[in-house]
Amino acid sequence: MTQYCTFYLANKHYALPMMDVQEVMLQQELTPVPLGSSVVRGLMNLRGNIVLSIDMRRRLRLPDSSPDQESVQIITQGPSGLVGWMVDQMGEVAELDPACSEMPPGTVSAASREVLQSVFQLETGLLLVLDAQKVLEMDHDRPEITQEGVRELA
Amino acid sequence: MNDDMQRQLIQDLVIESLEGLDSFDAEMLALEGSDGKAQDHLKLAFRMMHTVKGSSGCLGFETIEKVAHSGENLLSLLRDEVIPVSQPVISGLLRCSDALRDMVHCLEVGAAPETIPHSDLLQLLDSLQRADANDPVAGPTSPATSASSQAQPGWGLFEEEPLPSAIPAAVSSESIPEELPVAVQNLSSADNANENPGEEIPGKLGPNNATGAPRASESAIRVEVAQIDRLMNLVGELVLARNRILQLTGAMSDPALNGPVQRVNLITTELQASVMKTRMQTVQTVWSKFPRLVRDLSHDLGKKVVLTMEGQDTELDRTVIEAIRDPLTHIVRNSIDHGLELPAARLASNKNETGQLRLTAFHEGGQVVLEIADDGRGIDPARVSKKAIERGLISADDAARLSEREILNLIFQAGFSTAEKVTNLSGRGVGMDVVRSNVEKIGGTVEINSSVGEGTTIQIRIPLTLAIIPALLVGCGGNRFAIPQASLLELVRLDPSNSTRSIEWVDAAPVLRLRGKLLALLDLGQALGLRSQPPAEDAFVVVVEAGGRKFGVLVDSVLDTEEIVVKPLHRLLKSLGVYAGATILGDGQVALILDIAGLAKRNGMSATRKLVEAESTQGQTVVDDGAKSLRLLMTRVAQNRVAFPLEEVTRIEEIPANSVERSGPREVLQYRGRIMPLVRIGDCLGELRSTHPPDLIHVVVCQLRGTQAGLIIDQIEDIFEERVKIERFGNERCVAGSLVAGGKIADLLDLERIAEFAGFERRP
Repeated sequence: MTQYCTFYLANKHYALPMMDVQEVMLQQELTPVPLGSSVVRGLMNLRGNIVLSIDMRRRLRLPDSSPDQESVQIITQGPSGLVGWMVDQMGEVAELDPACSEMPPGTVSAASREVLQSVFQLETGLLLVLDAQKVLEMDHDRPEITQEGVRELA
Repeated sequence: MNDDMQRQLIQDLVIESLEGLDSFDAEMLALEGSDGKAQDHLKLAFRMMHTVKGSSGCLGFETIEKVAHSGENLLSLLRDEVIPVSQPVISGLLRCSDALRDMVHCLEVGAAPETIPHSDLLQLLDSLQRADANDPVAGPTSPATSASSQAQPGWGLFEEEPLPSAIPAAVSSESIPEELPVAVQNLSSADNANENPGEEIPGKLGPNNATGAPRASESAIRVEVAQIDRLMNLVGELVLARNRILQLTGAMSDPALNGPVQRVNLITTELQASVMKTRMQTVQTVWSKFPRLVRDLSHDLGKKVVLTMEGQDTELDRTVIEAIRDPLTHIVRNSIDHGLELPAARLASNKNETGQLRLTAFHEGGQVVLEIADDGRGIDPARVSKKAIERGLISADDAARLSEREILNLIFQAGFSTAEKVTNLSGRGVGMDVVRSNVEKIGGTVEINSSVGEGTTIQIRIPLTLAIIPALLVGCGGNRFAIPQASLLELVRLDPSNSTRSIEWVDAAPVLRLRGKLLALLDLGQALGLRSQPPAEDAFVVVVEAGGRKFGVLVDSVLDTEEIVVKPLHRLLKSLGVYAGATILGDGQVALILDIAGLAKRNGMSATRKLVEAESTQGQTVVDDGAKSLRLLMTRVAQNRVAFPLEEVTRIEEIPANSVERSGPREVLQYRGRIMPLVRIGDCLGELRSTHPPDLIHVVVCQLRGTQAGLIIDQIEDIFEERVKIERFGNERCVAGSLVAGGKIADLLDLERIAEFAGFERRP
């Protein structure tokens, strides 16, 4: 049996393997990163460590939540530092047998499929398990902002 | 060489060697496990053996050096696939490592390493070298009789080169040294010791039965940097919590609470300082080894070398110190061995027979720069490319396409060595590649500049990752950013009513006329996409220099200066190239640190620089009329104009006049958590008093004889950069002379005399 940390995004039920999760914290004030990808919401201070906050709605190409919607940060330790996953709301901790999970169906959107590890059929609905590594592989969708040419005074 | 230093060097050698040998064993075992990465294991093992050999050789422990050298020879044959990896060979190498470990233990307790039997081992290693692929079992049972290692089959990269005589001596059993250190004679019977010490000494003189002195490895412990990082983070949090407590108790003003809170306050401050200190070390910790190294090497090679070191106090992070230790040693060795010529050759090419080796360390553009410069023969790009082609590192076509600079950088390739002979010191093709890989591991860069006949300069740039740096906090578009003070030149506040203090436009590029020169401006808000409208008319220009570019950064506001702890950025943000890191500010919020060089590059600031430079040299006829170019901070004290040499000025502050307190006869100020003595320049110049004392006083913060002091003046006027001629009329105290700047006469202050006048003690 494996423990999963579950959470909600746009009323859908998602999960991360518990092993990847360090802690959960309430939304904090973020320092935005100009020129950064729109998925990067900013940086925050977690007991002296810098945490990069990723907007999971944007990462999964879901519509933005309303500005007054409260959110939660799930802190994971990635290979390149701490990452906070900004999600709408936490769910229960689920103890499930990975053998019972299924591959994501081919009909889910490409944005979701690339980060989906597996799907559990729960009585309450589907639980989509994300692959923490894949979620962070997103250099490619960083919008490239280039300055117009080289300025020359002459 | 004093004893303490000697002991320190030996201790370092012991710790370094024991660690190296442990990893060596691990590599050997992995090699035996044949996981298909034999070359990698061999390379690592080779480096470790090389380090043990090098360090022990430097300290004059010939026996250790000799044994390591034999091991290294055998490894190089394995690496070059002249002999196959086989179990006897690995056993032999492990035995070699065991013997070395025992010898190093001897050093630790002050015994002579010669007391460890090693002649059998040398024979064994020697015979293993001659075992060819079809006969892998030549081992200890069939000790070789030939003492000649000239007959060794192949030397890999160096096979065409004759071996220096030192090597046969080292690998042959017959030529065990005739002269023996006194220590050995004391330990065994003098007669026998002269014959063959290793075999005659009964038993093994391990560390256990030697003196009871504590082991080096016990008096110091190695702590993982991650552990210290954690400690530092926690202390940072403690500081923030402390600040909140101070605020709360300040409001409550409960005397019972105040005592303990003040104690917590003090302890926290001290704790923070201690933890910070744990991480920082001056570059001197690495450099202190070099005078000895240079002396011994130059002595051995018959060269004359003078070593000069500048910037020993440059502080580096512990991890950085560790990472640059080996690269620096390699480069210094290379410079003496290959770079500097023999005295006769130097005289022949019209140089002083004594070669110069200069080590410099300084901060630049938020990086630490370490330079190793020699005035030797330099590196010939033609020879480098020829060798690189010979060694198959590049094709002849490639070589033709490469620039001189790129060719020089080939020496950082693994397996490259242009030395005509393999000496005991360097030239085995390990070295420069290790230098580069070690420096790159911590995110640094290595560059080489050389001109034939004039010398070579190697520049190592290490990023400020993990370092603590002073930074200027600026505001832009509602965000706060930190600009490393290392890249900061000055601040200019724009003033729309003054044409030399407002933005002008050349085409679409904003510029500022700064003291008669055009300074290209970069609007931070626009560059970071924070706003599209032009900056406010009373914005600030932060004049910076980084990566060889000087330009102004337009920001909305200047907030504060703060010592910040640089934290590395997540991989996802590094690629943006405009942030050098992030930091946590006093209020617990995160701020990004700007990478000035990266920002300039991204916004194409380099093109403007040439123009600015061209303009600055143009129309400036250089006549030697005794005038020199000075940057001056012009101030006013009563009716006098008083100039400070700008490079002496740390900061300029404006403070309420009533915050000046007294301590003894002195006026003092609480400044950044410390007590800063104040000196009234008016008093220095002879009782000049302004007619009406202002509410705000201006303080120029300087170092007076090593003490931070505040010099009180009435008014700040401007900064000038001019060629000025300093004239003296009499012996005015505290004044270096009079000069004309900005069309008016001013007195140039002499800070040393002010320190004298104000009675400052000389401090280191």
